[in-house]
Amino acid sequence: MSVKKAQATSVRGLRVRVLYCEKQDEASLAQQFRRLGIEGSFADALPDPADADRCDLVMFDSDHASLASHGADLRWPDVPRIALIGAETPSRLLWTIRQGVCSHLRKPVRFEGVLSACLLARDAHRAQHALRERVSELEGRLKSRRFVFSAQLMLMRERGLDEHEAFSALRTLAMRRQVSVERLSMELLAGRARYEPN
Amino acid sequence: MAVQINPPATRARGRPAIPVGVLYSLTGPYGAIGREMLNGVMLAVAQINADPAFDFVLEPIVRDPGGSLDAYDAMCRDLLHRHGVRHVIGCYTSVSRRRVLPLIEHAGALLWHSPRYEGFESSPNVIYLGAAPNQHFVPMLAHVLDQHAPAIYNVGSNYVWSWEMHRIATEAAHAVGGRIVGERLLPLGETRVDEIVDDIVARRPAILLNTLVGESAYRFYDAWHRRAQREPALAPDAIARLSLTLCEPEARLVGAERVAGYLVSSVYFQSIDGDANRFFLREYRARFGQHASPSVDAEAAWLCGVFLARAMAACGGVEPARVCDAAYRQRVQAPQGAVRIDADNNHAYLTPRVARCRADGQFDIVWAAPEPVRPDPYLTWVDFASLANTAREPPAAAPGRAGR
Repeated sequence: MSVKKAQATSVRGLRVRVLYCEKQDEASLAQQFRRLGIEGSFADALPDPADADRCDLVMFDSDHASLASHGADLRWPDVPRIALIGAETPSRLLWTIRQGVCSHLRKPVRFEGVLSACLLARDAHRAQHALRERVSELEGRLKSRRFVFSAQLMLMRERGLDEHEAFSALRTLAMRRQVSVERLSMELLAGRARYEPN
Repeated sequence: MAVQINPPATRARGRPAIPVGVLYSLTGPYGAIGREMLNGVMLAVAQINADPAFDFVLEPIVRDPGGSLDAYDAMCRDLLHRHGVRHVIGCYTSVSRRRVLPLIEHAGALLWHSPRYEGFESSPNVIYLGAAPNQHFVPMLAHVLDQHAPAIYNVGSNYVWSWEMHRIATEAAHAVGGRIVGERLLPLGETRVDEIVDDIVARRPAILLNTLVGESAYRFYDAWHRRAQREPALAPDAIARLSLTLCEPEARLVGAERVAGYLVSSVYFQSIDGDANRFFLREYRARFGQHASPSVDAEAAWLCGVFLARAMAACGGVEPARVCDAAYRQRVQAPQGAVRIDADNNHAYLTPRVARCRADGQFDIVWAAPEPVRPDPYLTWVDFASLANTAREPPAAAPGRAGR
């Protein structure tokens, strides 16, 4: 097994915060954490957004009344969340969905499943993050698309290029300056860059 | 507390005694209900042990976890592994059931569960003789939404039963074009309820769904009663008050005048007219005193004992898988009517009823299902939108609909 692969399936050193866990589940989790090298901590407290710096993953009992105080939206740290699910009543499941969980374990928690839940949650959270970043990048580019269009029009008008030539010119210029086409277009429109054909 | 009740050997007349675990909290916060369920089981045991048609006697081994989940765990282990019981009649709360369920399943035993509960479970190792939500809440909602505007206020205790009943009420209200005008959840045991009564007065719901339990419920009944005497908005029929748990012994406990007028859904009331119920009441009172007042919980616990004994007699053994199969074939003429068990989900066909609490603590049945209703623990076949078909008012006429 390559080193990279071993790391991908290792949870050694993972800091897991477990909220409002029942005693018997805590015993199973604590033991399995020791086997897996997970640094677990157990607390009867509402989620603390500041935990994002202090833990890598949060588990919580989805049946616990203190967490499930209706109406109040909980603020979770931005780390993967795993629900420990007992009741499969829709009211509980809907609430759990709203907490944005990445994986779950059925109660009573057994040793089996803890590793899979942690890995799946970590991966799902990473994938969600990557997707969110990509979406926000694309949204940014979409917003600045009109500048590209304006710059293109400017080159067509002022330099007599056709549509395709204008875009190629923008792209070449952007590559030369090592910025995005959108960035270059804005600079061109603002007069901070000039089109100099070779 | 550990109570071991062994029937005198002479009464067995040589018939083998089959140990059966009984795991009800007879003390603690819901001890009164536990004692009532125990009565139901003990009545069934007495009837079976006195009946020579059975070639065995039941030997109940009664354990009282006192409401402690750890005690449920320890006592259930003890029953299964030291006493070797294959059948346990027990549990009232869902947390206690979920605590012992892995033990029961691991031992391949069978849990006979008598209380109504919120559904969304079907273990092959449990026979559920209490009502599923499609048998106790949905019929009542259909009945009430037919009579009152769908503007509902939910007040309950902060735990799974109330959460789920409030969700069902909310879905039903929305499906018929109504709305939830308020919702409050109190921590279990919380007794400060006056402020909630104020809120209800201010918001004027047409329907109040009360899923409070225990002391919180009793305080709420009292606070409402005191307020209603000086507040015209709370006149007896101004707001339909619904309960899913109020029963005859509870009405007596809190004072029937405080709960008179409540609409209650249940599969059993003492006022059911029928020979089986008259016989049940006579036997119950003969055994536990003329003032004994059985509720739906006593009847369901009695059903557990009866189904268990008849199924064991039918299959000639105690092995849970065989007893379970035999239980599916039993037809019991119960105080509430005919009861049988659905092999698809291990829940029972039961007869829902809606009744109004009288000032003497008895209940006038205002609606009853024409026949036993098939259990639907996942509410798969309940179509909330179809409740609208039975609603009395056209959508435009009901107050509070503008927002939806």
